[in-house]
Amino acid sequence: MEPLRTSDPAKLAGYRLLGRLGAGGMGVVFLARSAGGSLVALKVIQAEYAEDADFRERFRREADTARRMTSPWVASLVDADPEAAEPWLATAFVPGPSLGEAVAAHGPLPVRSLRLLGARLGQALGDLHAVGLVHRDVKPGNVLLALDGPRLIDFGVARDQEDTALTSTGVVVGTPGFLSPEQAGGGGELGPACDIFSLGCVLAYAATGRPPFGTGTLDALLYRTVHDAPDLEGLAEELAEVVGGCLEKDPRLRPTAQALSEALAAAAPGPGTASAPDGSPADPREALRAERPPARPGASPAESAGPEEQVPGDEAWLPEPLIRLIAERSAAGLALPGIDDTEVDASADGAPAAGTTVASSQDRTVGRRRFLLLAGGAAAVAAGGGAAAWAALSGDGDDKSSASGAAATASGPVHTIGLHADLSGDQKSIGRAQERGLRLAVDEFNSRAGKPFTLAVKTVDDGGDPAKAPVVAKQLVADRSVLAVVGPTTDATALASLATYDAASLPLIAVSPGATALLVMGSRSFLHARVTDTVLPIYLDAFLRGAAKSRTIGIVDDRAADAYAWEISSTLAGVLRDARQPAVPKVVSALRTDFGPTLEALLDGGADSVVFAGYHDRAALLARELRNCDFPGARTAAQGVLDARFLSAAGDAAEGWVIVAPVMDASVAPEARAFAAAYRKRFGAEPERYAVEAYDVARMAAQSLGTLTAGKATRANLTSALRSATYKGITKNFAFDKRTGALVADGGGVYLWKVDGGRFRYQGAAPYQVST
Amino acid sequence: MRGNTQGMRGSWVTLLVAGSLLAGCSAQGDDGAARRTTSPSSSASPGERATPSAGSTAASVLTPDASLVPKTSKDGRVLADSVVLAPGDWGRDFVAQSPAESTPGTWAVLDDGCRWQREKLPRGVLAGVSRYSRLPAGGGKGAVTVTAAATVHGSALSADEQLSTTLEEVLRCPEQQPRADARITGLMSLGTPFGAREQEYADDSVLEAGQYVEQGGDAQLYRWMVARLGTVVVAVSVTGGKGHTRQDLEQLGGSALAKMLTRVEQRLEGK
Repeated sequence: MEPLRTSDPAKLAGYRLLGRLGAGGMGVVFLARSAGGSLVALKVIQAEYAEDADFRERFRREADTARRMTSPWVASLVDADPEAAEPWLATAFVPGPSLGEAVAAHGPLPVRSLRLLGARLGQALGDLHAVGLVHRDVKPGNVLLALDGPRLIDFGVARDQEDTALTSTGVVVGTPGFLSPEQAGGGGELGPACDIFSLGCVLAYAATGRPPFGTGTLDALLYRTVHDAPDLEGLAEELAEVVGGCLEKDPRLRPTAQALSEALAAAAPGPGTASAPDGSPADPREALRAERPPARPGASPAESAGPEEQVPGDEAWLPEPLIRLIAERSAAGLALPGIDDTEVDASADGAPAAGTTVASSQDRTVGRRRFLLLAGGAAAVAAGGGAAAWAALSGDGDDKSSASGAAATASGPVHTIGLHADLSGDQKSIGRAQERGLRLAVDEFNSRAGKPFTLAVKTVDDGGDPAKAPVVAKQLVADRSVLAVVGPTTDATALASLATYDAASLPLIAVSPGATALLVMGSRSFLHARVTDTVLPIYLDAFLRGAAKSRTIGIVDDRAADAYAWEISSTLAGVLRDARQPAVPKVVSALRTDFGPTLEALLDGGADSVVFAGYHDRAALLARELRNCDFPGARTAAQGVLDARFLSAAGDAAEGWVIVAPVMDASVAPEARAFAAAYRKRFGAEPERYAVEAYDVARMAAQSLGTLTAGKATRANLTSALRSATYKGITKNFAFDKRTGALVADGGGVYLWKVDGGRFRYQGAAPYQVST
Repeated sequence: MRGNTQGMRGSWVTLLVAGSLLAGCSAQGDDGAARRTTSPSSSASPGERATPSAGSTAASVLTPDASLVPKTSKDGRVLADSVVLAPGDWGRDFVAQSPAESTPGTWAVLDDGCRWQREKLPRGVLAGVSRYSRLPAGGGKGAVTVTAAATVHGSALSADEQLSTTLEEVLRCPEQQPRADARITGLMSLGTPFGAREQEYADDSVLEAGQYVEQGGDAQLYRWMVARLGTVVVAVSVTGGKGHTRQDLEQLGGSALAKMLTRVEQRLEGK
């Protein structure tokens, strides 16, 4: 929230103005307190619009309609004055974060939360549509999260007709990416179905963290909205059909709001006792009246939740970190300046305006009790007076890279850990796993009582494109709250963005790239949280001459994999030469697709095992060739082949391949048991590869941050702290070369995987010495 | 490609940076221990790869006029002859060695004992020409010995495999014997396809760096630079000792290779 400007009045229409929530083409939205003590969002229309008689008439009609509407999931209209010189309208103020902020800060929502979100927003839209209103701007920034459910805000009244449509100059003022095709195309009637399409986009975004028509230039977005199928990858099957239906290009094929709400509510477990018998979403006011057992003191909601539940707590509809965020926001709301002493007794419970969320006495009591249970120390905020800082509430968190989450609270400053990842390109499975690992570490840190500071996460996605990598790196650099960055995902994007982070002295902790070149570019802020690719041949050699009893190792360097392959093949050749062991090296042209001659040369040279230095796609070609000639020896590769696409491309020929990689399987490794349990609970999925590695470095960064005294938490100081840190992680022991940021290798952190039954099966730590 | 010699030279600067990086790593050369600490590479290569499937030939430097691309040994020989630098092309004071040129119809092959032999051209290779030149010692500086070579293949794959073979040779034989009384030692190499590490002058390239030691003599700097444009592979070697800096010698080799690449481009694009 921005402070009031000197030109802003202290009071307006009987409300005391507290700050600015936002400003747009038509006017300004203030946070204000009514005489009765309730907080409202007060939208004041510029006088120039009021001069238009048609506008004033429409405003009056819509305000009258909205005033009668009593949807529980719409921030209700408290009052409006269409006749004022500057017409205004006041809606109940919802302190929670926007959905956009929440997803950006805490990642995609679990399925149960999504169902409830969708069902309730569907009901909200159904209620709007039933009285003849169309929202026209349903987007993550217009969905606020409260403890009992979502609130749709900014619901169509006093919206400039041009806001979300293409204007004559071709500029879209609204939110591309969440517009319906009929809005994006600039033609056709904008009926209720356009809200349904937008809701589909919102749900897809909340489920995957990505807008279903991507991001990028306006033209591309609008084009994709009109022509392309939505990207629903990663959406749970049970939701994909419903969301897909909302995203039909033809408005007539989309469900009505009510049908959508019912479809989602049908299978959604209600929030505890609040669920209505007919399965329809509960009215939060009912929920608040319901009797509920007092929570066991000291028991965290997470502990009391069943293992199969994706969200903890007896009635929480959101994952715990989000509940905490809402509680902190609510607490901050309570700490805002009170009603003028001269007018109202500040302690009065008063008669709050109906339908408000935070300031109604019931809400306040329940909200506070809950937040005391959930957020502990945040209560101090309420007593701390007006010092509470606010994050912008109405700011659009739609852009995934724009929001950073937690507001500062009495539990200290907010420090952000950035994630620079490939979340949408070739290596998105690795990037997304790292995002989850990071978020889990941050959530756990924030849930600690007495934490000295709060951590937030900010993600940027380079799509695996080295040209885009420095651009998104600059976004993280520009956010001064970002003190460390985990990533990037690939060698190419890491090399491309190294200089950007170095110039800003922003610590960059790489989890998956392995290029040695990263260490010789002179970066002062780089930390290589894994061994380089040139170390892996030591483990390959140990495995092949040890367990696999190979006498002559064949080395296949695939030039299609350029430097990655060369680091492995040339170092392995050197290792074997030094050990006076025979080797048969073969370098394969990137233009060659037939590995037959390569294999012949290996056999001619007497190779009885193979190391493939290259990536998964061409490894599959070699695997098939080896299979065709019944090659009896061991077949091995490094992490470039640890990819599900190798299994699908090679089929049976993948069986028996052994991969040496700096990646632990946290789903089975005993060291990672606690991590895996927390991960399953948080994400409802088995830990994906590279999640625990990111979790480790996030915790290491938090530890190093903790060593900096207050006021010294700068990027440069954190770089020094990290480079001199020692940290015992789940996957390895971390210590770094102070000059280069290279990991001090102690033999750990490298693991074996073996293809067995069409899956990569974890074999535990890789030995680095040939056992004798 | 940027299409002019200036652009090529600019690219060579990049390659030479990569070359010094590679050479710099050799100084660390502490490989051998089964348990390494940091940066243990004996052959660290600056790596950058985005996606596994993007091949090194996604873009091509050359758009040849098909009618000008040699398809016979005779045409290949004509092209190679016109491309390979003669002594005067290297600089005013360069003179021919003896012999001045390789035996027609042969090329150099590294045998199982890491000795270089001349063998008959295999099928798929149309022609190969090497010319040997020398800048005599003088003015307090030692002699500089250079080679310029061109090999014309029947296909881009065959040409590309010549570069793969070059890389393979260093994996097999970091120490090589060009003549009975000479050794090339401490060899390291780096292949850089088009588009990687800002290489924009050739479809593919290889840089080898090592020392050249003649019997009873001092170790001299040795560089072997190879580049491919379409079906044609051009290469230069530079060997020099006392009084010549690494930069001077690499600059000499880099400009010579750029000159030959420009010639290939002109001959095949008909410009």
